[in-house]
Amino acid sequence: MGKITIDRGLARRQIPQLNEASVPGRRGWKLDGASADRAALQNAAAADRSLFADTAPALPELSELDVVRHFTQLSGLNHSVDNGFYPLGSCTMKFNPRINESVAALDEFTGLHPLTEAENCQGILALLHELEEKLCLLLGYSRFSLQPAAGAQGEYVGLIVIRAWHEDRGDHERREILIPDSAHGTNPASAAAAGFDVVVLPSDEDGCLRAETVRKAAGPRTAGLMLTNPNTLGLFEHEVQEIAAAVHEAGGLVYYDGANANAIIGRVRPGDMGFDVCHLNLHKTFSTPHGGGGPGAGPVGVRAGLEDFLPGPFVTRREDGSYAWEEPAKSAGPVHAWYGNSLVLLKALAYIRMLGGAGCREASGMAVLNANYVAHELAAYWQLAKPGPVMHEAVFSGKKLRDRTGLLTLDVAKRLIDYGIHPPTVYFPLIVPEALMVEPTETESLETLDHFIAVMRQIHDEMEENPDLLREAPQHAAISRPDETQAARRPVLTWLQQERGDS
Amino acid sequence: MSGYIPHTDDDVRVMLERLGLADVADLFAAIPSELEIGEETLEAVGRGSDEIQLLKHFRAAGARNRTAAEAASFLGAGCYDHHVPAAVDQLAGRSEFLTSYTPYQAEVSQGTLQAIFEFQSQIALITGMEIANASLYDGASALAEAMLLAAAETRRQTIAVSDNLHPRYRAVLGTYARVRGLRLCTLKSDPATRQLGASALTQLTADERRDLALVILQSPNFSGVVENGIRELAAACHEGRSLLAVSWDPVASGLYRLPGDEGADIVTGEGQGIGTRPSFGGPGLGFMAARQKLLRRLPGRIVGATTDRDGRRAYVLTIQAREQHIRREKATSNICTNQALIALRSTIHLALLGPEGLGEVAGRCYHLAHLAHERLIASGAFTAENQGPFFKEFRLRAHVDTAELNRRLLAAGIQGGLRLGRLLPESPDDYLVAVTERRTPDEIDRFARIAAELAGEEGA
Repeated sequence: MGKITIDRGLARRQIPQLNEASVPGRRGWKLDGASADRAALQNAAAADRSLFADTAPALPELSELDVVRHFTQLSGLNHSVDNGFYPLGSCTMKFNPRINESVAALDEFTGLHPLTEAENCQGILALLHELEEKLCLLLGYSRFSLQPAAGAQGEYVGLIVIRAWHEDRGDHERREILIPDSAHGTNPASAAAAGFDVVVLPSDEDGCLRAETVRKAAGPRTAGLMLTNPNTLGLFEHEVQEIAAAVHEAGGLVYYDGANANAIIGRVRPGDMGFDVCHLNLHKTFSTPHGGGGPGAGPVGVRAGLEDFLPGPFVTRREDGSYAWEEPAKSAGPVHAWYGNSLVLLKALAYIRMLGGAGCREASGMAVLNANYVAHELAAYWQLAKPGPVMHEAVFSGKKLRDRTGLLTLDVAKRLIDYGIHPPTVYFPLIVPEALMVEPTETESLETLDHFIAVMRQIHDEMEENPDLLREAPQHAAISRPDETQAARRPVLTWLQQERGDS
Repeated sequence: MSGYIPHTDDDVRVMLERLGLADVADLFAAIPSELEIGEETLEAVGRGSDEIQLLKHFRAAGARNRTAAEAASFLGAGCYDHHVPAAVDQLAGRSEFLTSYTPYQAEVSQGTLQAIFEFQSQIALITGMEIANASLYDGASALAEAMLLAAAETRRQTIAVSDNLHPRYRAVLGTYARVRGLRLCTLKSDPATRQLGASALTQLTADERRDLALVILQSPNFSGVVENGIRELAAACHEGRSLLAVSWDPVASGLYRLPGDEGADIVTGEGQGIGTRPSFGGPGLGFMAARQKLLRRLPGRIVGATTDRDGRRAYVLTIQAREQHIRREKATSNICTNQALIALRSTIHLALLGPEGLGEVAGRCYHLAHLAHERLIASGAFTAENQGPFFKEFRLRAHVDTAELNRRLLAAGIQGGLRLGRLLPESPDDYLVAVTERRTPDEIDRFARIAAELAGEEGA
């Protein structure tokens, strides 16, 4: 096979900041006929005028072309799913179908005020209800709250639902949440935010949690257990039913972290595995775009008996076929001013409608096939964290390579950038030394996977033959490696701090 | 294959051969067979669609909504029908922004990182604060995060909240406060002006003041009134080592003195009005600005400027020792994914408007809202509910059936104000009217005429 040349997509480039491009007196967007407004301000009552500022905030002054060019140029400094492979483990960077964007951008949805009387927004209420029904079917739950705006808020909601359920039963001693050591960092952070103590459970040699471990840890102080399945090693927690039973026996509830649900959609349902509460990341499993860090959506599903504790309001279908808002009776309380990220919810519904149930099943099948293919083809080069088949992602350890070459997984990640590939997730899960976590997703073709595999093998060769290529990587990105220590020690967070020379 | 899967049958066969497997189902051998999902469940989810059918389905649903797109909207209460410049949609819709992840890998994320740095800079400028984070979910949860921040900073448990805070925000505060064991108490405003005033803290008991972590007010508040006396209130808070948080409308920054300049310690708010359509309440944008001294307690992502190995300017996610992926259960918040793309929209919006544009929008809102106030009172259907100074929204006492009024308005292409009883059951006769720069004197006249007709019929 021929040598793969580096990708020159993101060449070294700096774009002046808006404040640096500002010219006093330059205008972009304007409002016609501002003189009448000024007269009104001058005639304002004294009580009003005493509150007015002398000048408007010193925002940059730019033409519309300045602004358009600025942000167009900035966009060129980003890697994205649309311009290259993005195998970022645990983040499910699948393709974001454009029809989803089109339907969510209809004026009839973007122009809709959240306090529109229910009789005047039956259309969107019907769609939200439809999404809830489909999520209930796919995940095996009785109801979903669509309100949480992201996965972490979903976790928080799921946990306060668990808390409210125990308290409603008069059980106030359950202060602990059990979490395996392979969990995402959000799990313990959410448990702490929801007022619980975190008890960390060790995974076994094979990377999975043992029911026996859970049985020993669970007791009268156990409020619940949080589990990701497949876990962050990409392995299916095969004792999940016994684990759930052990928590239930101790009087606790079992929480499903849906971050990795893309592996199981249309195959197995967390509700059937014994999970009482679950959250999903619609921006992962259901293809809504990540947007550089949101907006996402993190709906929370619960089994029968827990519905009343969810945040309100819900959309309910009445007997006459119309839709109405309904407040759950014992709600743990709302977490959003309105109903969550409604437009994101519409995109997820569009995706599910396009795929249908069978399509969802095919998607998880190809996601798992792709991950196993990458695991198989790279296993001779990078040590798999755990031997054997994986689910939707493959976790490798760069420890042996580090010990031999002195090069870190970080160096490998940065070298991938030179080849136009976004680095996989690195140094997570924490229990794998020099971890490299690859999640190809189902929307990537065999050709893309083969290219990635070839690049990884070539980097493997470079580690022996020309290690400086890795140490100095990336050479072909907008910047070379940034000084993160300086950024944290002497924070410069705004134009003003920069101008004052805080750096 | 259906959906968005590129695999041909040949691809699948080749891949399975490499893996030494016969069937895709073999990859799922770890799943106990009794747990496998039933075919009937998958069928109930639906059988799949194409773009033509999908568009029809969503268009049909859309047609059953009555929106600000077709009706002139006077509905506000925290979500406003402000204009969004055309360039905002087009730039924020670019693939490179839309389909990238949280910018962990700085070298391939400088576009998003620089945009967030500019967002933080703009938010600091329009709130009068020193620093800002990269965004939170919405105005309500941003305020809840401010409450948790203040409780951690002061190691106190009492939070005093203005009675003119948005009721849904108050409910969200209640959720987070209950979980943390924080005590919420209410500060009453002057019923004549609906302002909290400088001496609000005198309403608290000595015990409450000793334990006071934070005072929360909203400005312009839920009645539309701009709060005064913030400077004195901040001083009183600081004297007792408590903090002051203001939930602020960023559009008001085009006209009014900034809460940061008045001494607030934390300014949060909803950024929907600067760059995003109402969108049935979401996605919106929570923002949080604060004093420098609170930096290490801020929730969520923060971008900082630094240099790369070649000494060139670079931007990175920073102060990550606060965050969940490093600190796990000791993180300042569990937030990770936030509202980055909506923050980008606001960044573009404010870049387009500039100081003059923001001032024009605020000036127009003020002018039209005061015109509407005058006309609606002259209609005979309403009287003023309070005498406080308002910005773009005001609270009236209705003397007509506002359900009937809103029906008639809608028939005439106008979305009427909020019947406040929906959010404040104790105020069934109050009516909240919002007026943005998108409204016209003609629309206001039509609104007032229909109100006058109804008042005439009802003999109000």
